[in-house]
Amino acid sequence: MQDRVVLGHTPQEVDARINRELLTNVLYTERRYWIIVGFLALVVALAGGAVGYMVNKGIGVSGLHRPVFWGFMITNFVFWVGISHAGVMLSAILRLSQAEWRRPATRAAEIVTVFALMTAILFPIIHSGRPWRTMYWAFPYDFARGIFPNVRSPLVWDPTAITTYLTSSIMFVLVALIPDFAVARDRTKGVAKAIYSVLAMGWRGTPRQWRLQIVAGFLLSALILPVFVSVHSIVSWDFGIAQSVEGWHSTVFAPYFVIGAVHSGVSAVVTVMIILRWLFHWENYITKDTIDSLGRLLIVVATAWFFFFFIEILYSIYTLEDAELGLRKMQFFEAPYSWLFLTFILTGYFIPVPLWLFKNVRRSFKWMFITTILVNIGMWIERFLIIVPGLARKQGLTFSWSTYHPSVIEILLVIGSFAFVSMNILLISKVIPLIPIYDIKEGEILKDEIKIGKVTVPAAKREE
Amino acid sequence: MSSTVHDAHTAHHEGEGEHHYQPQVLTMPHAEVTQTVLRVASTMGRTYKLALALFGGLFIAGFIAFIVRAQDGFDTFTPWGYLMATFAFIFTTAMSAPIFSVTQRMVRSHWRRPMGRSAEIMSVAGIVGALMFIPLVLMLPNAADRKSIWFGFPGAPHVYQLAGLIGIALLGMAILYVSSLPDLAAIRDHGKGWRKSLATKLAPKFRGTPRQWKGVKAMLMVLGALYFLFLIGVHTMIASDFALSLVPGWKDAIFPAWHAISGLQSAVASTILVTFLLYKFGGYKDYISVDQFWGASKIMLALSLLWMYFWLSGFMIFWYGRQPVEQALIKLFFAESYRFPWAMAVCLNFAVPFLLLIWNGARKSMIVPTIVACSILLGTFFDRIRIYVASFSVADVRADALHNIHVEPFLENPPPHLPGTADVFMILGGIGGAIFLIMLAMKFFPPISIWEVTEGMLYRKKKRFLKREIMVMGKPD
Repeated sequence: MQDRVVLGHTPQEVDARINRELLTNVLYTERRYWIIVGFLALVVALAGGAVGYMVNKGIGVSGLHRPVFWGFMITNFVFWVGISHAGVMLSAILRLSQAEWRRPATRAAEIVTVFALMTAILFPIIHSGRPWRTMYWAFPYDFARGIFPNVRSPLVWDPTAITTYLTSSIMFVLVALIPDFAVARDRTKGVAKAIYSVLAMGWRGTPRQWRLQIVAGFLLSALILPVFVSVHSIVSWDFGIAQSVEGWHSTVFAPYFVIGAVHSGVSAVVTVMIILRWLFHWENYITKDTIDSLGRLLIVVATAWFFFFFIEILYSIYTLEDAELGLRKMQFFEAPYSWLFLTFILTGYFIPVPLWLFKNVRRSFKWMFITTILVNIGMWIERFLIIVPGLARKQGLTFSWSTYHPSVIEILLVIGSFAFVSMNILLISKVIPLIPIYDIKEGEILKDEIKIGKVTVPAAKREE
Repeated sequence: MSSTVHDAHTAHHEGEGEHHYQPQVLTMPHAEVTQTVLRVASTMGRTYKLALALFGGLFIAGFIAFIVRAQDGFDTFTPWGYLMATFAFIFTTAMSAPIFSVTQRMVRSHWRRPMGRSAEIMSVAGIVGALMFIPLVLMLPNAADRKSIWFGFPGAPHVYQLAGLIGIALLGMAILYVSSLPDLAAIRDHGKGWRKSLATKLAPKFRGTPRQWKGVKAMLMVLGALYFLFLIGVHTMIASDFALSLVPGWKDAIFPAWHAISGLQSAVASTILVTFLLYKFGGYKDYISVDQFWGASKIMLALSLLWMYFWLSGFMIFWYGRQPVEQALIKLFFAESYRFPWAMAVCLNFAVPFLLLIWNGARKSMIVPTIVACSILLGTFFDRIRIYVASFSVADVRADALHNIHVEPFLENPPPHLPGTADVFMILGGIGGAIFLIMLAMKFFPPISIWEVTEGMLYRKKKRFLKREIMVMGKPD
């Protein structure tokens, strides 16, 4: 049964109500909002302090130790790049496929993308121990030594791919925001009005402006797709092109990382949407239909991810090489990795997906909240299990050997990254409507019904 | 009749010439759809009979060529590379085609309604595929002393390969049968002669009660989900046992997934080609419009991009890895021995679809998607030759690594194995046999699904909106 929310009886009533309800977060603030933001800011400050301490004392205060030089920070980097894949998946692909249910979800997904990417890019820089030196190996310029960075190195690919994705994602959000900025411009005063006027770029809603806006949206959707795929593929090649670490030199890594990223990203968007619904009372917009459709999408995405996970394991061990067998034995059967593996596979697939098969679960905000959080716990551990055990296994040329124990600093950084993203989403919600107003209005205009015999079926008008 | 169509041909021409294209909305009476489709499906013209005779003859010639080649024995499998490539081509195209119908039915796209049945009918090619597969699987070396995904399972790989292939062929035909049940009931009630008696046997009890409709739809969903899982599984098994594990040291986790993507791409291409032939020569112009080509070509473009992306993801690792075995594999499959079929595959499976289908005007036509479909099918054929003839020409499947078998300076890689006369006839016979069966089946199972087209008519209406008429599309739960 589809939800049929009636927002008004005349187009003017519907318009006014959408404007009022979706601008709530911009125009009014509840006390609990500031309490939550304050708490998150405190956690971010603690993490910032931890970074400062590490820069001052050196990378030795982290748990990184021979031979494990990539730990929580790189795991977190890969995780947040993964989360950033939600925006394009939900916004661009669903826009191109004209899925009606996408409308309330797109803006939140795009915002998650932007802040997840900003967070991700911080981690390799922090991980370098001397952040200011990153310019030597990342920027395409011979700053100091007269030597250009090696363009065949992933250290150059990563910043290039991520900054391209970040730029195009910001552009994607801004273009979609123009009509909504105009709505905010017309309802604010003083400095806010002046800022929104600049951001709205003279938007008056003329037919020509709408046509250009729609064409720009479609073009950006199509152009951003290759960037979206390339980003996590390139991150996967950080590992894939290396031969010296067991388990990393795998041909399937690129699509496996991308589909895993979509799995965790879409799950994160569901989590965020449920929180926003609760915080801003958006019951009329983020409906059971919305999360039901997202739940169905997640079943497909999660199963595709599981297929790649399965073939990655199967084709790594089928040649029966000692090194691969040893690594997999360590990942699956030796503590603490065995416990992590069990947690990852249960929370990443075997608990949520069977539950999502039930319509009642897909239509329950509580269950979808729990299961999508579980997915991201699982997917974070997955990244850890890809990175750390391969490095931690003792090999022939490893003379000094120890396993990896994250330090308090690294744990604080991970917690801080979650707080940083959440805080930024909440702060930006004071500036922009997190549900696209014009998209919802368009959905209302296109909404229709068809009578078939005695049954009334929900329908949508299609201009093409 | 044309006046009752609202309006397929006009819509098509409008789509090409004007800015606002309107999707096809059929408004003819349901009984008329039934009568027309049944009449066209039961008529067999002279050209059709000649084509049937030609493809049947090719099948027999191919069978004779197989017998001739079999006289040399099955001890070495290098001479059977082209038979394997032909089987793989049929498996990747016609036998995979029902996936198009399955997935589009699952996502409830309306435009697929007139083309889903032709995708399902192609599953009958599974009979020819299974016939070709039996000798191939029997000559496959057992799993002992060689790397295989079966890890010494009893009966591996032969039992599982046969079970998988027969399973996918049967599932495809089961989908065809269940989705045709309501139409078979129509043949039973309105048909004549052998068609009527056969339909009576196949659909004796279907009366169109709500319970029966619910059953048909539920069954299609279950069979569809099973088919999808089986198809991916069988692609994985065939790619592993007939290619990966025959080439020592070839460790490539993305290859089976890439093989499956190629199957999905070819499935869409086959369906587009058949739909075009039905439109042009089959007498179904009232039901097929540019909508079908537009919708399917978007999927074909996406799959062509994925085809390239999956290949690049795998190649990148080998290229950067530069281990001796990786270099030997690149030389064998891409750079030296089989570089011509590889170049053809890249052009036809990626470059042509990409360069043509990125243009909306090209997608929104009948001819360009059909040209791209032909290009993809030809490219897939070259690609199957590249993969399977190359894999079958490796001298020692139990060696440690490819570069240890063909040692320089004597022979770095096996030279390309070119087809002989018997190979050419086996190729023509296999493909001819598959087309023969598909054409035969189309004269019994209506290639346009009557019930799905009439159901679609209920969900699509024209409505006045502001200053023009637009389509309203029903979205049932």
